[in-house]
Amino acid sequence: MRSPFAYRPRPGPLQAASPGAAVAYLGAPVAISVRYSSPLVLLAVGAGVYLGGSLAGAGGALRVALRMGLTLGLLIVAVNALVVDRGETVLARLGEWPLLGRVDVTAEAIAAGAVIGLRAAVAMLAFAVYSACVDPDRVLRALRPYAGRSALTATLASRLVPVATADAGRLRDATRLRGPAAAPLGRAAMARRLLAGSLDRAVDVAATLELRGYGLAPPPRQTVGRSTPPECGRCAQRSRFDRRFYTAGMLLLFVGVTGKLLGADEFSAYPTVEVGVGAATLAVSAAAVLAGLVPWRRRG
Amino acid sequence: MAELATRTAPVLSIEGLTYCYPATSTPFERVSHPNGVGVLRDVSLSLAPGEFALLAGRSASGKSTLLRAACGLVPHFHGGEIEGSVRVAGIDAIATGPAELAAAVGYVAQDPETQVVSTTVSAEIALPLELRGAPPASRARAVEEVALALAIPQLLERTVDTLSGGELQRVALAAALVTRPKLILLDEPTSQLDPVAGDELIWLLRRLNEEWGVTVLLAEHRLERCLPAADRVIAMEGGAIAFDGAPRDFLVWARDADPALETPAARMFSLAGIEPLPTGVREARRTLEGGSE
Repeated sequence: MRSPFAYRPRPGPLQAASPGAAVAYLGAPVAISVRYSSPLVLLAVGAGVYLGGSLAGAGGALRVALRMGLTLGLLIVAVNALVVDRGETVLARLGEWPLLGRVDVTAEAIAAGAVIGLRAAVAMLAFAVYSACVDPDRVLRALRPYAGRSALTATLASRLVPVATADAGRLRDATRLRGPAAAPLGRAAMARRLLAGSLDRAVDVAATLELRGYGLAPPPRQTVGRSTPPECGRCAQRSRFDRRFYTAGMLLLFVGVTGKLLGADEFSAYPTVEVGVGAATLAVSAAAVLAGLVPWRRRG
Repeated sequence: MAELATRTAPVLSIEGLTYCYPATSTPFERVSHPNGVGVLRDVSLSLAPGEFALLAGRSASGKSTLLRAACGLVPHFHGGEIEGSVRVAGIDAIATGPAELAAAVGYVAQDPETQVVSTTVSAEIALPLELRGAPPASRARAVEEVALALAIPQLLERTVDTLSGGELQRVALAAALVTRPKLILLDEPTSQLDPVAGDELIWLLRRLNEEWGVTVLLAEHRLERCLPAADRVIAMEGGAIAFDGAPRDFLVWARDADPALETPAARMFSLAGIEPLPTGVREARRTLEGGSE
């Protein structure tokens, strides 16, 4: 069974870019989503990531991530609405609840939950694009100088998704084989077992990586002859698209920081929801959407 | 003379090895060793070049830990306290890390899916050489050679997520063998394979053992499959070596000392009072057919 998040080799700028460039490009919108609360900016950042991922050919991964992100977002909204009683616009009075006490559902708590949910969705979309478009083999090689003594880190970064996908398939099969009379396995229980199993198996993969020689000091450069240039790990990682993605990531971060300084991000949830659409907020939103065009490749 | 001594020197030499896993402290360790301990007690053994040895024993008898000690994962990767000495092809495995040891020893574990770290088969097999700085031409040659030896050249361009368990296990074996180690350690490599793929893997190992001269130490539960291929059986019990000898002697020992390790064919022969005990189904059939003629 192939995961929608699994990397697939495709010709495209994002796939050709070095892992560092891809992370810089995909990390910038995530950083903005963490620092901003304006729903307009967050929606724009999400749209930009979705657009960029679609242009890079990660449509399948994005659709699954969007479903998961929206589900998680709704869950966050529901929990926030029940737990937080701040806000002036009471939509429903649900009376006294065990543990929670008096529960008043306010429009403000829903809006605040939606903002947190949007952030989570943006992070999931960015991770989906990373997972589907960045070659894990190149991640492994790129991490070697920094994680040479920590094969586990490299394994978690490059192999956790495929290993977890295989585990999920087996768990689902095992659940089906228990028969119709068996109690259904809840999603939370499935996720818990999956995480424990995946970490366990990631340790085994890390051991394999150690045995392959990942912890060895990188070999010195060798000059074989003029006609055959020395092989250089970092040189082999570079791509002509790197500058494009590094520049886009940096520019987006710059716009985000500048926008914040100029008063963009006009949003407050409490005591009443206030959303501003000033010029700075609009500029940051536009930059976030435009960043989605960066993986575009001219045909022909 | 010195060359002769090198050729006959043990590939694996373990003396007075005592080991216990660390007490669990981190989530990763708890996941890896839920019980917190796995013990070896005063284990001593020596494997000569070209031997095919089978490591038998019940669950938690210390087979896997012994193999991990022989390839340096214990104590370097798993931690814990260790005493005694482990030498692989003359290299001190306790002082040297698994990455440095990997040129002398290959290791294949039971779960094929945790044995691959690359996206494509050719990249996976080439990885150990690439990490050692081998030039691309010699990498390609070595990958082709090992792929031919393991009958997997048709898999080289495939991605690892499209392979079956048996194919994955062969790829893992190829990656372990590509550096041409003197010793290959296998921890229940057939446990997740179907019977046909399991048999094929064992006979492939035997062929590599004979043709390449690589020493094999194979831990297995399904002994009936491996006994006919083995030159020697080492049985473990409670972290110590309980038996070390020829396969046929092992069957007699297992009948008397640990019937759980008896193969089905040997048990049937024991119950029927037929001697000698067969090491495999084929031999049992031959004996029965010979007796009926």
